[in-house]
Formats: sequence, structure tokens, C-alpha cells
Amino acid sequence: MAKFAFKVIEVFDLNERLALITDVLSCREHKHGSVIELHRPDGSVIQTESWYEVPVRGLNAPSDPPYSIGISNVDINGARITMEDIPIGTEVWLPDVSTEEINTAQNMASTGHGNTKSSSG
Amino acid sequence: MAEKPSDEGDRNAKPEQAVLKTVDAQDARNAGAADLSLVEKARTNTSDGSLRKYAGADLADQEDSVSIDFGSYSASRKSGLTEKEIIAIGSKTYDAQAVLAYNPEPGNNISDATNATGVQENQQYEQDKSKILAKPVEVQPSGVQVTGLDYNTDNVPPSSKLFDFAQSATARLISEEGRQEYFQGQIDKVLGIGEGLNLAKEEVKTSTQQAVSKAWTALQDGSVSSFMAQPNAVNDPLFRTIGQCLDTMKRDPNAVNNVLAIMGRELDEANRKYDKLAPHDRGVQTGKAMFFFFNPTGSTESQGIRHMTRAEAITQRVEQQAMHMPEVPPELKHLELQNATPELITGVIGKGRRVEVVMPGSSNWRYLERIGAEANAGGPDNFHILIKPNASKIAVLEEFLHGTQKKLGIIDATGPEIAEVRVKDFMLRHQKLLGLTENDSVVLKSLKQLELERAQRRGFTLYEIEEKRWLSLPSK
Repeated sequence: MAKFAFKVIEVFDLNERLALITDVLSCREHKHGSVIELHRPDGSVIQTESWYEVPVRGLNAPSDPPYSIGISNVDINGARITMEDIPIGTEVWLPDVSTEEINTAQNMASTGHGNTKSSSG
Repeated sequence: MAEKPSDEGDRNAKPEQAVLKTVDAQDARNAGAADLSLVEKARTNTSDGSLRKYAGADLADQEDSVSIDFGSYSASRKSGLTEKEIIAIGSKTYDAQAVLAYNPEPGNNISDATNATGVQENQQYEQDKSKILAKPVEVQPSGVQVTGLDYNTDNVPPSSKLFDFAQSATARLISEEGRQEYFQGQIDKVLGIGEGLNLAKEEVKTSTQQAVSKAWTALQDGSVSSFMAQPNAVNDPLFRTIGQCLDTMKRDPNAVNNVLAIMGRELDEANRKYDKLAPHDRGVQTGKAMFFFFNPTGSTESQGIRHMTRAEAITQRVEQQAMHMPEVPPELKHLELQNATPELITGVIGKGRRVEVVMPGSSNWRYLERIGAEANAGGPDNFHILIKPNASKIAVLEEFLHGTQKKLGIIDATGPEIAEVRVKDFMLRHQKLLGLTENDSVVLKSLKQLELERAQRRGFTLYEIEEKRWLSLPSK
């Protein structure tokens, strides 16, 4: 069960993947590696993996740049995705957070992961 | 008269007195210099009488506390791994053509994490870099709702966009009188919540009316402007709440029609969080800020901007208080930073990163420009690094460390906003290890502060950003 999160306002081809500029500043619900749904204006849906893009901004950068995500250039069925496949206005739907959290918790429980101290950052 | 101690008296002797009468105690009390000398020589932790050697004891204890785990290598204070050694671990010979993959002719582009050395980049930057710059549009978002808050979709500066937004919102809302009446009702409600919890119904009415009157007065006497002019006004939860309202409206065209309802709900929510303020003060603050944004006849006379329209006043305030706070000290923009050396880039590649130097005009370049970045780390492992020519050392190191954060599970656990702050914090704490110059560190500090405030504007709390450091991270 997915839910609407934001819209795509620009698309860039970064060779290895596609980068989407969204119409929001931030989205806590979006998780690195999650499979998102791209609801295109014509009603069709593409499912693909998505990731965080982590930029370095300088002192002169805009204070509030838009939230951007990277997506795989192949969908979950292995079909190629190009910029043309993602028209402006395409909606990004994210996996239901509650379901995802449950799965994450179950995974962590099964692998023995827990709260612990890390060594960096 | 001397009195012979009785059995009763011995039984009542205090314990410490009994101890002092023992042979050992007597010896200790009567020890001479020779005895003390013997004891001193027998010590295994003999003191030289100086505390100097303990001065760094706390630091030494921390040597193992922080390290960068590269898998087969670990860099920490104790291991003493330096930048040079990190590069050497790559064991690759540098080939400028292969690594940089661009025309080695010195270009006009001077770029680093801060543009600190001055920039002339194909007319894409203006001389006055304090402005948010208009950038070329790659794709026009013609199908997207335009409220005036979209980013860089045309050459209109943010001030004009906000002005357009205000006009658009105003036009689509109910009549001016109706809007004012609604907000009046909202203030009644908010202040009523704050003040009326423990009061009888009639008392609520009375106090609410007084509070509303105070809010109006505050608006008219300039208190509203004063409130927004506070140095930390943009960090106020209420300010962020209003920002969230605007953001919500931007996201959903239909939300403009429901802005009043959203506003009321958000204000109620914000009001409940004002636990540090007295209920009455919470209500007054809410009312002041709300009227500042939306009161059609809001007085700004005391600020000398009477001639401005309401929307212009909003624009000015938002730009001054939100878009450009804190003001970056101008001198920082001219600090010369270390460039990333080819050896450093080679070393980063040796650690599995895919480094791509992007050139003006390319899609990758336009992407960096679009998100206002000097560099970027992306992909499933955040190992694909985009940098501009002549990128600074701190930009390259930071992107490298984002990959390390990803490996450690930090990015997954915190999200990119917090990871941005923490990586800079990490670099500052290890500036010597990373070989950063004083200029690098000064600029990095400022960048960290900017990221911190950026994260706060997105609703992250200081606790989440700075203190929840060790929580919710998966074990290695």
C-alpha cells in the first residue's frame, strides 16, 4: 500500500541513474533504497528503487533548495527508464511507512540489530 | 583521683580508639623518614611530583573512540592514518586524463565548496553572490501547479514568487472580511485553548476578548514586526509551522482552498507544543505571527514600510528572516580553500568511489546547479561522486565520507539532512587528521551551521540532529 508523497518537477539523467527534483523541501517518509511508485499523468505506474542524493552545498547556495532523489534507470521488472518516461507532474508514491517500519523492525529483530554506538559521524 | 578502668569501661571504648592502639597503627604514627623512604621505593606507581603528564589523559582515552572504518583499514587518532596514507592505500598511479576526464586546459571556472575564491562561470553567476541566483531552466514545469513557491523554474526571484503566491492565495480565498472574521475566530479558539483550560465558560469569554485585543494592539504598535525581527524568530516552532502551511499549500493546489482550515489545525498543534510559554503568551505569539502573515490591514508603520503592499512586506520579512539567516560573514566568501589534489581524488577512487568531474553544459552539471550543490554523492551506496572542476578538498572529502556514512548505516538511519550536519561535525573534529587548513575549518564551521539551520527549517529538532547521535543506528 503506497501513498502520495510529492510531485516531480524536473528530471536529470546522471548516466548511472536518474535524479528527480521534487516540489517539496524534505520528506522524512522517503527512505534510502525504498521502491517507489511513479504515477504518471496518463495513469500508468512505474515501480523502481530510489535513493538519497547527498550534496555538498557552498556558502552561496540557496537556503532552501528542493528535495531531490535518485532513482534507478531500470524498473523492478528490468525495463529501461528514461527521462521521457517521467513527465513533469508525475506523482511519487512511497511505500506505506507503517508497513515498512514493521518490516524493518522484523528484519532488525531477526538479524539481531539493535541500538548501538557507531564509530563515525 | 586516678581511677582503674573497669571492664565496663573497656567494653564502651570507641572502635577507632581501639584501632589506634594496635601495633600497626602505632608503627604508622611513629614512622620516621627512613621508613617513608622505604615505602616510597616500594611503590610501583611512583610519582615524580608533577601533574603535567596527566594533562592529556582525557584525550588519550578518546583515541579509540572515533575512527573511520574502511573495511580492511581503520583510520583513527591512534592509528595515525593520514591523508597521504589513505591515498597510498589506493595504490594507483594518478593519470589526470583518466581520472578527471575533461579538458585539462585551465578553464574560467573556479569552483569549490563555497565559491570562496570568486567565480566567473559562463554568466551563470552574478557578481552579487548574496542573491539567490536565477539559473537556466532545463524543463519547464508547465503541468505543475504554480503558487509562486516553486524553485528555479524560471528567472523570477523568490521575492517575486512569494508576492505572486500571496496574490494567488488571496484571490482564491474568501472575501477579506470573511478571512478576517475567520482568523478572529481562530484566535479566539487558540487563545481560548491556552487560557481556558481551567476556567469557567464565562471567564474564558472575557479573557479571550482581552487577549485578542492585546494581539490587535501588538500588531498595531509594531510588536509583530519586533517579534519577527528577533534573531531566533525563524527557529521558533510557530514560524516553522507557518512555513509548513505554506509548503502544504504549495504541494497541493486544492489546499489553497482549504488553507484556513489547515492554518487552524497547524496553529492548534503548534499551540499545544508551546509548553515553555504560559498559555496566554502562547496565544499572543500565535496571534501576532498569524496576523503578521495574513492580516489584510496589518500595520507596519513603525518599521517605516508603510508604502509597501502587504505582500511585499511579507516578502521582505520572509526573505530577511528565513531565506538569508544567518547572514554569512562576507569575509568567509573570499577565503581561499585548498583544492582537492589529483592524489586525493585518486585515493578516493581507490576506495571504491566513482568520481566524475562534470563540465558546464552537461546534464550532471545542470543537476548540481539546480540543487545548488558543488558536489554530490548518490546511487545505491552513495559511491557515485559528482564534482565540479577545481573542487575543494573539503567537498571531495565530505562526499567520500558520505559513502562511509552509508556503509555504517548512518545515512539510512538519519536521512540526508542530518547526515549533512554530522559529516561536517566529524570533519571538524578530525580536521588535523584530514589535513584541513584554518580556512577550510572556518568555512566548514559556517557550512555546518547553515546545514543545521536548514535541517531545523525542515522540522528536525536539535535533539534529533545533535544529541540523538548514537541512537537508532544498526550495529556493524
